Amino acid sequence: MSQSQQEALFKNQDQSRSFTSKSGIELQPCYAPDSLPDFDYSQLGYPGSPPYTRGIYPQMYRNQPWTFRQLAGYGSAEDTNERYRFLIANGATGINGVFDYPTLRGYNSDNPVAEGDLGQGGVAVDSIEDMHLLFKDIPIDEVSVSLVVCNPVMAVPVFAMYLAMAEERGIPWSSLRGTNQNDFLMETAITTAPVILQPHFSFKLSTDIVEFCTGQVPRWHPISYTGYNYRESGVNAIQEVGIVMANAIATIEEMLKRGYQIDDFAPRLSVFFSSDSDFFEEVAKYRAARRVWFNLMSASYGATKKNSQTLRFHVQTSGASLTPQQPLNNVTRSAFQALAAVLGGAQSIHVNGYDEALAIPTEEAAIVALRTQQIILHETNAAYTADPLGGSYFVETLTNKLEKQINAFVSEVTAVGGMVAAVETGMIHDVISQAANEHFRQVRSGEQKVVGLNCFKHDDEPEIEIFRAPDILEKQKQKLSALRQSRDAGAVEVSLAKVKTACLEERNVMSAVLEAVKNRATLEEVCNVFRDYKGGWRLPI
Amino acid sequence: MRKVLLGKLGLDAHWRGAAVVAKYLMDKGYEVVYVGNQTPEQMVESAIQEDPSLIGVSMLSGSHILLMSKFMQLLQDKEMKDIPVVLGGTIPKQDKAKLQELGVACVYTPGDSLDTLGDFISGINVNTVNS
Repeated sequence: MSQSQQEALFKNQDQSRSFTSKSGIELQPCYAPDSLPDFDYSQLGYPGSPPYTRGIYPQMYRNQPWTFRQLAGYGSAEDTNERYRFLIANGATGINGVFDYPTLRGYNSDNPVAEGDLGQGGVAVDSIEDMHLLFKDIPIDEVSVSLVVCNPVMAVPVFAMYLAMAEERGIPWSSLRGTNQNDFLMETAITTAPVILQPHFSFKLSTDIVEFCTGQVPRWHPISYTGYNYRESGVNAIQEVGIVMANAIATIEEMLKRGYQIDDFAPRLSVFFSSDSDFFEEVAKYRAARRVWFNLMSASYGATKKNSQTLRFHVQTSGASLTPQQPLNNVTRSAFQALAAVLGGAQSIHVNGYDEALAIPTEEAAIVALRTQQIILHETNAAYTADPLGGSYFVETLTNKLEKQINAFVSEVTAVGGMVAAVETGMIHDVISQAANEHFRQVRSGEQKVVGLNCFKHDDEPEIEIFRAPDILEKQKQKLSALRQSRDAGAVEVSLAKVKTACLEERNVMSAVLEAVKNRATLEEVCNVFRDYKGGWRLPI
Repeated sequence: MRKVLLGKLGLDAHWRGAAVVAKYLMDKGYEVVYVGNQTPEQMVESAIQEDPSLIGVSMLSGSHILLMSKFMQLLQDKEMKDIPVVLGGTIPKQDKAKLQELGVACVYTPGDSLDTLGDFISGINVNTVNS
């Protein structure tokens, strides 16, 4: 760019405002060839070719559209089974099952701590019997199933219930496709609960699932690093990807230590990202993440399988960006966010309901969200061409900058001794708190405009219909008491003792837990073994 | 008025809102005791021990009516009704009246300025001094 051109571009610029991306990268009024002086197309590569910046498949969505994976779960297993079948009948191509708080924290429905939260934000699962009801008449050997079992304490027993349910239905594990969240950061940094496992033990449980699936459930993704949730708790795009990468490094190091080769398990590691409102930064984030992953896998760990080197991820549009004010505006927000995920090459997408900031979605909101995906795929033609923003001076510059800063973040975590140490010392909690407070300051000062919330407000907000989850306490109590009467109490006791022994001997707990849940041990009984052994950690916040 | 008891009723897992409120109050010079997740019984117990001038509850789980009813009743039983209770989180507008009926002094939802909370607390301060 000549000097006079440059001057023209910057002339009359509004000096009172700063133009930065949400993660703080300064943005120029225009990008041109000299923004990328070292640009070399052979290094960028084609879609489907290393370093996969442009996507993991040559044809991307022409061959296979992303999976429409709408989150669903409320009330009892029977209630949620109905919602799953409703979504599939309306064109959803994957299941994304969310559990209520008691289940997510490993308590049965009849425990007093469950009161009030039972069946509210997800479905209640107390035992394998609920798992049978949850997936009744759903062809789990055909549909891919994501289990939002975010905390390892309960990911282990709930995933074991899923596997045991498949076995009892005569469906081989080799035909099961799906994903567990199973992220120890969810348990120890992102969310809070009355009793929290020691980070190193929560991490060990998550790796046990990875190890178990490596041999026995080959098409399952045993872990999905929950960048989405990191982001929702406050961090920016760089930190979101950086924490994911540092967390993956922890799993890899542990699996290598257990004697596996990188290509044995890396093909099944997966990631869950957010799509926030900064459109181009989000697109660049996905591109940068794929490149960081490729370099990590191939250069740092010598992975040679394509599936080890390619980052596969699910995206959820940002819940935290939505407002309870003027809720229909959230349809627009979510649509832009979903489009960014498509332009960024996501493998599966959930679009939030417009009432997300108020409650879990009504049927109407859930359908509008699904239709948003269908409109992007079938009407915009945005999915005809892979990585349509590739080669843009702006997007390539942003991708390069994000990549550099993500790597810098990963180095910071490595410097404190890796992800488990970064959690134990409170480093991750500090990163989250600082980012959350900074974001809040920006919104409060009006520096960051949020339509309907700090500008363009309506004085009189209309009420909208809110989804109310049914009261299921009596129903769950009855199911639990029937279970306790019909099962072989001695066998339950013996199998729970085996789980405890596996913990004490630092062996993989999965086989013992499988036996326990098949004997009809409840969720809470298994989780109590873990909590008694290594519970009671306090969040450093 | 210097001490605020802050916590979450039930198993609601979100701590970002509570952390932002805690920081705001600490910056204003208040002592904040954050107790994390508690049952209504446990939180009343915490209130007895800490003797705060204000109780702040954060809830984003949709279980606010049931758990706040129980909590407010327990406070009354323990003759601690004079401690003002405020609630923040994802609370549908149509639930606000019911919560106020239960005796919740203020309900804050996303978009409300933290300064309304600040003003409310300094208001209590004045009243306490006057009484």
